[in-house]
Amino acid sequence: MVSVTVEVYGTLRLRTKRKYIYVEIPEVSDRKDLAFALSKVCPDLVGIAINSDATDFNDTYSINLNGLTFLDNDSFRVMSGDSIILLSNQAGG
Amino acid sequence: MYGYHGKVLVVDLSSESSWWDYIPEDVYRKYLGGIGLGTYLLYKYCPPNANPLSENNPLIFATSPFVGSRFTTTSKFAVLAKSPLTGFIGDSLSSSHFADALKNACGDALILLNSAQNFTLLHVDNGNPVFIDASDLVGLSTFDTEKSVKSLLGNAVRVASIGPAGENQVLYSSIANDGGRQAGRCGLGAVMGCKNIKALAINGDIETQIYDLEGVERYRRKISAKSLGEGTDKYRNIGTMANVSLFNRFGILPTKNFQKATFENADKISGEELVERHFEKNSYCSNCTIGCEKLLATTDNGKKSIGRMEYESLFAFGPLCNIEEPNTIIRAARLCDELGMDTVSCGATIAWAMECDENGISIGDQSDDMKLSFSDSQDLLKTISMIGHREGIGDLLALGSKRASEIVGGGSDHWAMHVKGLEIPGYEPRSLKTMALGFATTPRGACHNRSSGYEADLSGTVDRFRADDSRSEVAVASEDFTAVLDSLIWCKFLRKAFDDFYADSAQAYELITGFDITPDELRLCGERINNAKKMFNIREGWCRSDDTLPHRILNEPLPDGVMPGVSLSREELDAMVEDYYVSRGWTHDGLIPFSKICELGLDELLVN
Repeated sequence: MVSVTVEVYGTLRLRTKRKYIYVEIPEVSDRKDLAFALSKVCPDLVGIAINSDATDFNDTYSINLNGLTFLDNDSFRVMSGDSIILLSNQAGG
Repeated sequence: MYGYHGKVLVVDLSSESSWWDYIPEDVYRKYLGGIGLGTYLLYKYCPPNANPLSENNPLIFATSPFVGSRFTTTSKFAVLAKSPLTGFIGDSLSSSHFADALKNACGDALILLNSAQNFTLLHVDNGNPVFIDASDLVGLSTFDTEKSVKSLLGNAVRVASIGPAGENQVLYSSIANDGGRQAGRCGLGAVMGCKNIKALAINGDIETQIYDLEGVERYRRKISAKSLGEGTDKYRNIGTMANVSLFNRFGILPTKNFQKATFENADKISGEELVERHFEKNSYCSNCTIGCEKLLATTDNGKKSIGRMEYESLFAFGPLCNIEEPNTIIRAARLCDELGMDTVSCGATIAWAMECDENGISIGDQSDDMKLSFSDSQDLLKTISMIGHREGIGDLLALGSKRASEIVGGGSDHWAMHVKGLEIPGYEPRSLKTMALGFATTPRGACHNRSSGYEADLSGTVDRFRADDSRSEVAVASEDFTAVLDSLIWCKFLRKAFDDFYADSAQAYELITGFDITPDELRLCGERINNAKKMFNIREGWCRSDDTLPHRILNEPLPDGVMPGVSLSREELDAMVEDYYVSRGWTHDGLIPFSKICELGLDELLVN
């Protein structure tokens, strides 16, 4: 398992009162792994950013690795210290 | 006709006369309303090569078929003229009660021709214009003007006005309505000032008929419910200010006049922080369920100020000027609204001046006793005020960064951050390549609203760091989408609430107008409207070299962010622009072939 930081922005930050959430996920993970791990550490996200059975993120949210790569349905590899950014899909203004 | 009046009110300000111009049904089907109808009318009423600040430039206020439907977010109107800032098409949107009054009093649009002799309050009561001397209003802020007009004519009138900036023809002055909402970009307030119109006061009760009342009511309930879902969550709770922290993380937050893309003090001015510490209340437009606008209050020991705050104002007076003090930024945004000025162009022009100071280029009169330098927030408010009144250094900065840099010289055009004369909003083009293409090609100049390429860049559907041939189709689709959005008119913040934007919008349009329209035909309207805008620009002297980006963007790699060193060369941009022309069906020089003009039914514009 690898420790990663999930960064929280916008309304999620206001609701959870957290900027960062630390989770452990497998080195090769997918969205389901991340959603499940996050739901255990921060249940407030379930029903908002994470779907009700904690198997994926809701359509209105995207996830991004280190500000560089958006994570889709494929599996992805993480290293210790990586940051995963959880963001609303209402980009821009 | 349903949803439309079938006519627009034309007012000749010099002869104090008016008439109705009857618009054929075919025009509505092709241009929809709002920006589309306004573009058609601008082409028709603006003589070629008109000086934007002359009586020849018409000023057009266009409504849309959706105004009056009570669909959420649709109380909106478009303002168009030839822009004094760019010399090309100038279009801007604003919203709320003025839109409803405009449609009930002036038909589908109000067109102002020529100029009044002296500053005038134009009152339109159910299509009848009354010209009232406005000398008592001259010098008043937009807020005080609205208050004074209502005390004179009653609270039933809806008011659009200019502040001192518009009176003084600051080239990026705005037109304000309904307590501080702004048709902000392209300097349309200067056009109104040039016409000696201090304010418009509108009231009327001539409503259009709706084709399927029950269907519209059902649709209204459905879209209102969707507007309260997750697809608008950000806008309802933090508003566009939420962009600051995320853009900083992604390295796309223009800082120090685009020298960098991250701001070390972003946390101090983030939307999350401002909502926690400065939030006063939400502000809603007429018929809107979202309430995106956040009113913020200052919290320091100075005179309390409450200002509307959006990301663009926050970015422009914050990171762009390297200022981290939230109270100063709130006051700056409020001051711009009072004076009637576009915050983006104002902040960007001041940032240009700050960089002149950094490079030892003197631009001011020493007697101004000012120190305009990055991070120094002390003189920011004074400078904004001087711009609005065109005093001292403000007289130069009132011209915008393009013209000011041409006058000052010394290579300062290299850091004048505009496209076609319109200052760039808060999106870093070097690490948002689709947005970069949109900034270069959009007819009104650098704009994230008429081309929302950043959505692709920030969704992972493209690699935002790479300039490649995948961008042109994305940019074209985004421009055509926004042209439809801005013509029907839906608020942009509703866009994530649709299941299928074109299908949903075609259904809504049919319910209101009774016009059969398919989603593909609606998409074609977007293409037609963007081609019409381009035709206007070509007529006004557009050439290939206008579709470009500032020297800094094309010659300086980004030093910071998640991918330091990322750059965008002129060759890369040119290749994307050429791909874009191909996607549009234009020539490699960016001209529209006559066959394309005919295919889109735009040949009628050439007759005009």
